[in-house]
Amino acid sequence: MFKNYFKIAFRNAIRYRSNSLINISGLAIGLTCVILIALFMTDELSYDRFFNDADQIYRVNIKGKMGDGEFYAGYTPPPAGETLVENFPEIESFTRIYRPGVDVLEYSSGNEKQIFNENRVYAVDSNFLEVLSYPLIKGDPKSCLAEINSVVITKSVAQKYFGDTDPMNKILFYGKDRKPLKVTGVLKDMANLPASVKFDILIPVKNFESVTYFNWSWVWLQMATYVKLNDKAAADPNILNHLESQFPEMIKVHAANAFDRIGQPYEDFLENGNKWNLHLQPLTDIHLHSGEITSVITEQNSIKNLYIFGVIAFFIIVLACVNFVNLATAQASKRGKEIGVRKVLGSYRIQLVKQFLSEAVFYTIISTLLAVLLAWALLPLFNQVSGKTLPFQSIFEDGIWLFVVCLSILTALLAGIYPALYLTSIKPVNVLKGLTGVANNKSGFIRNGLVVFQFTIAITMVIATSIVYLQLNYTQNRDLGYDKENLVILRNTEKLEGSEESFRSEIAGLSEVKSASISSGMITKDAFGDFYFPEAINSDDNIAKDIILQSYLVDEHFMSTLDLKLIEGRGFDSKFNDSLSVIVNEAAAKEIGWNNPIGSMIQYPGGKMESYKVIGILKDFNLESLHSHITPFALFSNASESYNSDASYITLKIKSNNTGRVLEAIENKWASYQPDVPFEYSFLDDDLNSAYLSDQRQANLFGIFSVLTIFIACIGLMGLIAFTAQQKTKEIGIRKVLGASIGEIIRLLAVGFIRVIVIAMLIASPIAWYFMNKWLQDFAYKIEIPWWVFLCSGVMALVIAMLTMVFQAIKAATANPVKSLRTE
Amino acid sequence: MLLQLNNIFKWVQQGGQRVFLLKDINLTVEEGEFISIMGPSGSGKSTLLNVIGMLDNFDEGEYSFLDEPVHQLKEKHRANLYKQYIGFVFQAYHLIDELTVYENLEMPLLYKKHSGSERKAMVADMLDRFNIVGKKDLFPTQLSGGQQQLVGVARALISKPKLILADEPTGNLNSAQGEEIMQLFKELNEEGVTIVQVTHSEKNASYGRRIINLLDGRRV
Repeated sequence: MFKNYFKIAFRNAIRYRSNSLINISGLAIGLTCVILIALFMTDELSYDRFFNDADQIYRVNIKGKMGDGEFYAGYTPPPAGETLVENFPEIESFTRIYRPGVDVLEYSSGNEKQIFNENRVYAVDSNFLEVLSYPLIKGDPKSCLAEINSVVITKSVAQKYFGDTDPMNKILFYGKDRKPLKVTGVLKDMANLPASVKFDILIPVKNFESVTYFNWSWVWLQMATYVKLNDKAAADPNILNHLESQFPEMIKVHAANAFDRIGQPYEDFLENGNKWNLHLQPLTDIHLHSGEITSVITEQNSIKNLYIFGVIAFFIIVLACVNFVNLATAQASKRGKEIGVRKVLGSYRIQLVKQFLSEAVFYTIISTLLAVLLAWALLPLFNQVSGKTLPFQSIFEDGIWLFVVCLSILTALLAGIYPALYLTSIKPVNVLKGLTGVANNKSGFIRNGLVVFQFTIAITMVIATSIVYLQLNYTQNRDLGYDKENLVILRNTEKLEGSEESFRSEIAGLSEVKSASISSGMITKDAFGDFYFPEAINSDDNIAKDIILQSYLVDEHFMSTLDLKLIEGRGFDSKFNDSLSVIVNEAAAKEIGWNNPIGSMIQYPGGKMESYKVIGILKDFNLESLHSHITPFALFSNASESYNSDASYITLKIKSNNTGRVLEAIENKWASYQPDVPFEYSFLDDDLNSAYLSDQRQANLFGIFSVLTIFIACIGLMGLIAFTAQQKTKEIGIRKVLGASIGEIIRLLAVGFIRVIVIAMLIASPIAWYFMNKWLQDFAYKIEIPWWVFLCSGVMALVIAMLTMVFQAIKAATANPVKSLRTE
Repeated sequence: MLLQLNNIFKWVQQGGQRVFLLKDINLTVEEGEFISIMGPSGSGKSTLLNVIGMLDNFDEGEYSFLDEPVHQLKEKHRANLYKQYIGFVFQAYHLIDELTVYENLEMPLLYKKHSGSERKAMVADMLDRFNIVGKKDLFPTQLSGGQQQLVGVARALISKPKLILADEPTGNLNSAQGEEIMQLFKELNEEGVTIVQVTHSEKNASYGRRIINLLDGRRV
């Protein structure tokens, strides 16, 4: 029986080639999207789940509030982990990660020397690989980080330094002190590893004196702490809640000393409405559920994006199914005879339903095979757009293949059930009477409804995509408060070891370089944040008691190099001794609330309690990408010794012509100063763009999917207009005989669909507005959604739909009326 | 007695008025009869045939088929009844274009739970009997009208019905082809198959052993 069904399906597919092509391509495109999105989502959802006992591992986060500044971060003070383990039996062990700055690693054998800058060197506790079971190729996770002079590297790092030779027990020299480290373990490469924390090199944290030095501190937040709970506590949310509820008391006991030491008794600190508390976050939540929790060492995505892609996938497949439905019902009059005859010859309706469902299955099987093939072919492209490295094989893992099979069955049902029921409702007597025998009013309503649905989705996608691109364009081109063009940033200049200034002045003398400046931090990088006490002068009543300031240490060329503007006062100047001067931005001045900022003082409790005099007010500029707001910020002079910075940058403003030659000249200079450290630079606008990379990717994915939804919807429209033309054959024939022109016939066919698309536009606009408004709320600086986006998207949909229809309409309108009338 | 119609009425509502398609029809058909229904266009011939074939309902009256009260049966039972005992032949043949001659003949059997080998034998039988073995792999569009109708009759016969209902079986054929089909009907009737046909042509009607005339839904 099924053989018979498939035979009919196959012969029909061949006979109505264009319809089959539309059906199969629509379904195949839909299924391909779903497969790719499923791969993407499975990967995202699998983050950190491969670790042993992943459900028992938690990250310790800190939620703090100081004055007006609030933060929630994936960092802890250094002693937090140990204190937690000591105080709570539920917490079995802890391990910490510290990220030192970029440093060089060197390997020399004989005359050959391999030196590279490494920026994914992480310093960890010795039990790190025991708690977080990153897969090791060589070495023992229990002992490989036990020795202070050990180092664990990934396979590709090993390849880079040692080639094909065995890396174990080889010696690498780290940093400017050339500390010798012995390779004791080799990790699997991380590129394909779904881990929220990725690195290239692990070094025992004991090597970093700054960490050891801050072991007393409950305010130094430069480490991430992970703890492992016993299985009972991890499984029971009540125990977990109870555990967390005891943290404030623990902090009060242990942090008091540290807060006293920075001049802020903890009791007073809390009384002023401030907060300083620890929270536990499941390891498996870090990647997708971190939300506002910040951390520079984790790869974070928002679960929201996954929902969006899930919804898109769902709609694309539904849209393809709608096409199938529309085209199948469009064939009704062609199939009506067959159905009638079969019924008369003894078929039950259920058998016919089965037959039409098998046809849907037939189409879906072909489409699924095609979709798997397409997914395979398009995966490299998809990886490029999405920034992933998904392997095709994962289709056959993780139950994705099962999902694909279920999906195609579901698709077949979704696409087949309505046509099956609709077509088999034909009464055989009507066929005998020579009618096509399909009740038209109700199904016409359903069909139009389906087209409205399709175009609502398509137009919503187009509006959403346009807004995403507009927002992206806005963030990339907004005035940041400085001139980002032609700024070259040289890194690692602290490796010049004291000769920074002479190097700077030498390259500043190059004719293509307009100016050059040395600073401890640079936009998007290495701002130092801490809190400061503003001092009141007699005229000030209500100034802030404390304030968190981000700051750089800079030389007197910094402001001119970046083209930063002063609102009041002066910049740093070699004529003055500026070691106790500070320049604050507008936001800081406003938050502190001085009446006369210039000449006011702020004290830094973290250093030697020096007071700094405000000499200038800086016009606000964006320190980070436009995802974040402008926060209080300050510039201190290089000459001040308020804090020591490990990092140093030299920023150059160059003339735009021939950047290649300038950079070559600078590199040669660098080599003459510091041959042992690789020269490394970047353009500021590239750095900024990389901050928008994930937005850009999202926008591109969005763009692709919205093009596909429009495409699928238009295919459907094509089928539908064919249906209408066929339905109206008689009407068209009569009208033509009575003298209607081709134009009038086309209008007759098209006008209904234009109405349908206008309705879709009206429904899509508020939906898109609502969701995109929500989406925009994640941006600190956002566009107002312009009204013309709605209009343009609608007009675009209309034009595309018209183009789709015109061909079919002309075909119907130019047909010989005698022929169409004779069919009656 | 094969079937009996008593006081059958069928009407449609048109503009608040009843328009009668069939009016007080009484008819008894014995097994082995060959009846021709005649009448001008719109007289209700096809409607009557469809009512007999249980494809169409009627509004009043009684209909018994092999002593089953059709008017009291549920849709499903009624369908079972006609599927088992009645074969249809159409003016426009109504072969399925996507199936070959062989497959068209086989199709009714697929719905009747015959085994594969049984089906094969029955179809081969039919092909033989109608002398169309050589055409079994052709599609309907590759046949002439007469040949198509031949297949149509063969298909109606294959499940061995007691009654064949033919609605202007020769309406689309030229006279020679029509002759051939009518001759075939005559032979079948002689073999014992009951036939009710609708026709316009006196000549074809004369093949029947009884003629029923209709006018405006009434027997005259």
